[in-house]
Amino acid sequence: MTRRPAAALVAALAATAGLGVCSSIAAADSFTPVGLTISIAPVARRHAPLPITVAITADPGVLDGSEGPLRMEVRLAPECGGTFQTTPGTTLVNAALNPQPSTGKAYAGSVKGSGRPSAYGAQTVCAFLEDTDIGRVYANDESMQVTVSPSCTGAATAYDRARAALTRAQKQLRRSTRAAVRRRLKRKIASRKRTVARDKRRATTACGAGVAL
Amino acid sequence: MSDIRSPHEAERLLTVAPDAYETRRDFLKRTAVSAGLAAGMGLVLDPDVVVAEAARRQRRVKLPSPRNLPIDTFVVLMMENRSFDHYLGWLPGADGRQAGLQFTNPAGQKLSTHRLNFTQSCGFEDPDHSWDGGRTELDGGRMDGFLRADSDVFSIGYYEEADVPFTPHAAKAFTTFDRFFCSLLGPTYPNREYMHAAQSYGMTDNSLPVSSKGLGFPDTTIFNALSQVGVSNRYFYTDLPISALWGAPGLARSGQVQEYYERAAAGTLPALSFVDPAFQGESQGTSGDEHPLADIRVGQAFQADIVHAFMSSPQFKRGALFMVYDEWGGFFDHVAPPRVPDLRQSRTLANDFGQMGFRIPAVVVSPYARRGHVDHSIYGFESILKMIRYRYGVPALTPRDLYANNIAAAFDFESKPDYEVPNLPSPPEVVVSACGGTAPADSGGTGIDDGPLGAPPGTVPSLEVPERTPAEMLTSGYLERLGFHYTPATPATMYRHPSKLGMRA
Repeated sequence: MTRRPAAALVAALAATAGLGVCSSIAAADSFTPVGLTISIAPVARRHAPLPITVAITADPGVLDGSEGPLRMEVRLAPECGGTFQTTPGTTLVNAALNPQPSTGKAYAGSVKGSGRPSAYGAQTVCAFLEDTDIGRVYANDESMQVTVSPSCTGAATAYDRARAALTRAQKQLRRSTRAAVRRRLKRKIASRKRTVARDKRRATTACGAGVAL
Repeated sequence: MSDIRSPHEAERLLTVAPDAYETRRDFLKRTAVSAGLAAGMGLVLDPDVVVAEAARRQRRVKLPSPRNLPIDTFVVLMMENRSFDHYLGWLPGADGRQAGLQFTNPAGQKLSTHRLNFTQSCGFEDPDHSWDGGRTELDGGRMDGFLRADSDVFSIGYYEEADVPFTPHAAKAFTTFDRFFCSLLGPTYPNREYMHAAQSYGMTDNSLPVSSKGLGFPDTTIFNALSQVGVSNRYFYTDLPISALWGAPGLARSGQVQEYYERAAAGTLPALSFVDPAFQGESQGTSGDEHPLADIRVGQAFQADIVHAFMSSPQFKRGALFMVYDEWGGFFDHVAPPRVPDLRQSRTLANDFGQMGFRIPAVVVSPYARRGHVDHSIYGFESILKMIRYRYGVPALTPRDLYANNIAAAFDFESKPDYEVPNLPSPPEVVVSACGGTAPADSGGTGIDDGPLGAPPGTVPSLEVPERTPAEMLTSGYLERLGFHYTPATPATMYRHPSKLGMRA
């Protein structure tokens, strides 16, 4: 294992550990030669970025037979197809591994991506490690699901709106010169802050810890 | 009307009528959001429930260690030639399609999928499921070539739930797989070879393995691998033993299916059993394997007996029985199969053994199977081999089962096992007549699995016979040369209860 991919893998896992995201872990070993570790929030907002990290590990030599550069490809779909190309849905990752595996060596690396889910409901994270030329699937994972939640979307949208309203009021306060207006704005900002705090609590409850608010 | 988007007007409004300012803005926004949400969701669950459920769905349960995996008895029952959409496209919760699909025939006519109103397909062609025909049907992943291969409209027919006597009941009672692809985009023997050995030894058709070294492939099967580590195993045939493809060693581990019934009842099944139906009579419509032109009710009755024998066995409590079909049989399906790593992979699709075949109906019966569940992960026959290997610590047979997903992941080993046997039917007795001269007899007839390709250079040469059918094993003298005494299947030898009249005696 080269130092850089290993460090990248550790960094990716460490980064996701603090985000409240869930991981599907299938590390490579002699029985499972290629492992995919997917880190993604279990609940998502519609039309908002949904970040994902896929860590890839492979036993020495098991990726040597690929007929082209290897790509990590992930879509969020109601149903996974047999391949990435035949899976409809929101693309979360479509990137070549960087670095590519070295012949005869173990591999560890990670790929990050993001997409904006367009439909509500429970959807499957369809992950494929394929070679670019043939589309041969070296590993796949359909075990993770993400729930694109109306309540999360609504609560997070309300939180966004409350924050925007607070920002507007603060901007108005900075611009305002009339004492009466400033007094009213200060009261309004205090009220807005309470609303923001309340909406944040609601959004956190509705979305869980994994959704960036 | 004042415009609150103007900063000056907004400040004025905020000063003179702060409530009006908020009310109007909030009303507009809340109305828009509410309308959008109401349209989009229909039902709002408690947020805590949504988050908890979503997190639960993501939680991957680690498999028990091989030694602690509570499955000791594996049974693989492999029938013949049906695709997922054709048989189970109606299954709730599964990715199936039946009515409403259209396929274009060579004359350019668009024909629609249709419900079949017969169980024995006399008068129709056996749909093309050869190596080349499968690639025509695949059509680069478009899945639209089912009428452009050597097939008639039978190939785009389907059965609904009420039409098939047993499989739908088992599928609804236990775990069904809707991403289970047969291992090879090719006919019967190569797929069965993958089931036994995770490779077809370079075979693309139903050729028999005959070489200067003797009869049979080298015994690189899961059976031999298990024997090497002292794990019991047995192959059970009804008439023609597929195990003969591995020559004398294959036949040495073979027994007639009545032995399966007896051992299941006594609780003495080996750790691994493969069970095959009666193959003879496919082209006359009298076989017991559900292969066209057979009456599917015969094979369904056979499957029911095998499954009931398993469920009533003392070994059911620590067992798993997989009901699978060897390949799609030329019947339509809408999910393109993947290409995967293989011992004989090739960049060229025409030579690529890594091209998996179309989806087949696949169900697992076990106290540890999720009840009434559809699993969506990608599996092939090698995935079953991988679970067996995992349980018994056997190394990979080929790259195919090395890279495959372990089907053990579909089981629920965390919950308490459900030992209750569901009330599955025992399909009624069926008397089947041969098709009235619409298809030639098996001996020298067209039969099934007419893979036109010979084996690629460097592979084991095959017997020179004009047609490729399982019956050739008998008619070519192959079985006789191995010293196997062939006995035709009868109700007495095929069924658990001889009173069941599934075939002509």
